[in-house]
Amino acid sequence: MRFSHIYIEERALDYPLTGKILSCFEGAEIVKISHYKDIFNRKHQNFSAQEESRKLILAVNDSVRFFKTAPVCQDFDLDRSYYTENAMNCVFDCEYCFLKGMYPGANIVIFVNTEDYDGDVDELLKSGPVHINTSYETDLLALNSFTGLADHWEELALKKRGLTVELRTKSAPSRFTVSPDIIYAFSLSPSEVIGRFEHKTASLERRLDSVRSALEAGATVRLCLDPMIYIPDHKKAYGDLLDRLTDTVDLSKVRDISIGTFRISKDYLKQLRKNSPGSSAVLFPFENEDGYCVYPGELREEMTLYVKERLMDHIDGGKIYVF
Amino acid sequence: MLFIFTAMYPEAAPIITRLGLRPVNDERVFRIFRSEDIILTVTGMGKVTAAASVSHIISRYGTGSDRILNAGICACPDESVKSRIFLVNKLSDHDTGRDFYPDMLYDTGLPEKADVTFSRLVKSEDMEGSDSLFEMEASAIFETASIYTGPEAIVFLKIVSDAGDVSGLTAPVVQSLVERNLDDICKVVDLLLEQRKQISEPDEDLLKLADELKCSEYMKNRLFEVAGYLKSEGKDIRAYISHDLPVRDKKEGNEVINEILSHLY
Ligand code: SF4
Repeated sequence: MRFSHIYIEERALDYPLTGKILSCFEGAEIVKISHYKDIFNRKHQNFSAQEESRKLILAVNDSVRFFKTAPVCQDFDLDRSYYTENAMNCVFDCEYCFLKGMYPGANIVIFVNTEDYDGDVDELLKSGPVHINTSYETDLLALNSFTGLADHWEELALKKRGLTVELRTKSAPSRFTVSPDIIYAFSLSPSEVIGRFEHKTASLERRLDSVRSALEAGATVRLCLDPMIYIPDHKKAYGDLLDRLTDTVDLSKVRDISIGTFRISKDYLKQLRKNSPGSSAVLFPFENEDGYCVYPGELREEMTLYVKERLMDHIDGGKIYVF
Repeated sequence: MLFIFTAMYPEAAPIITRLGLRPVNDERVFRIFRSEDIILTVTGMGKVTAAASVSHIISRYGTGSDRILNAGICACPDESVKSRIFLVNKLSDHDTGRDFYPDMLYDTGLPEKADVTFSRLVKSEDMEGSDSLFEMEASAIFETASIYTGPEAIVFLKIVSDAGDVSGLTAPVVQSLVERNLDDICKVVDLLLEQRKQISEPDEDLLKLADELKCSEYMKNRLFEVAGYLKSEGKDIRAYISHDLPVRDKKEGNEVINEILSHLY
């Protein structure tokens, strides 16, 4: 990974994480900035042009750092489920990624004031156990090699009672911390979907290898067949994925599996289509249900039922969550 | 279109010659030189005239897929960089304190610096303790151009002419500074010409199909959406229509669209 430019808020300069990140990209041009929004929130940015050459922005997050998980996101029946904005945007390039509909540009922001996040966690824990999704607006494991942020959350989960962290990824990590409080959530898609729409992510082969290693190590694993993307031969594609999954992974060891077809808010879809031009993943003529664009009910049903039924041959139905 | 803006004619002259630009005689306010895909404007010095010319030129000649290049001389307190050219990665407006960031998407190989725009000639004391570039137009050009286009389309090249003392800056001196850096300027011009956004033309056949289906505005949007999806899958929407065209009325048109939808999955 390489960044030609790193923009750093003046107030972020002295944080240890800033130093760590800078040491990984010694040749990068450093531009000092007053506030990350001056660059991240500029008008009329061209997401696809920026994707070709993403820049890194290091900033201090002095705003709200934790958000209650909305029902349309996944909270797995957890009472106190939050997601955190540790970083914004991703090193991967999935054509259907909602971040392309939500953010004004493709540059990656890393918030370096980790100790403030730790303090917030302490506050949250005062009212009972919490589940924190650390990778809702990024793929933290994919950023870990130069930020160490996934490691940081793992250490925190080991240290703080009542804290469960979830690290969701389309990468293929090879090192795992074994704890019921650290959930490695692997997003799985058929090879066809990965090849067509999930650019720069790990191949299905590598993701499955990684799942297997995690389970062999005794780590807690969640599998996410979500979002399922419609392609004309979807049954065959998802059938092949399930064959490979059930052939190589002992599903009884998996904590749970989530299934869900692609869905996105109407406003984000408009922007997403602009930012993923010509992508059939986002150009599908969706139906609008209460402001969310979804596949037609019949197709949704067909896609989820097919996967759910196949999975139920291998895993207790109570461990399958449909979103 | 690629729009080049320079403050003074001596900054523009070598570029005009190298790119073979011809004067545009029907422009009354600004001096303009052009070729088929490049328009160079001599804005005059200062933020107000720079902003006015950018706005005028883009409004009059903009195509929606434009790139903007500001090239010119500047001051820098670091004497060792005199006569060198820099790509600007940050612009600060001295009056308002606002900062602006052009996207750095082009691999120009040029050294980079931050730039500060003043509303008056910069004196040595203004630059104390800084290693930035100083001049009088850039922030206004960026701010005005940003009304029309995105930060990926705006590029600034600055050649260091002095360290705050402009007394020796005659027209021939300025011209020779630009000449010395002309290859780099033209390299960026080429990059920008390559990068102009492709504007998708409205699909004539699709518009015809919308007419044949007697589409309302809502139906037209749905039809375009379906056609866009099919195109992204390498398919032609007409292959999904068995009904004779044109249809009799809107209702029948709607039935055709629903029929296409039913074949999608
Ligand atoms: S891995 Fe996730 S966050 Fe990253 S681009 Fe893909 S969908 Fe978006």
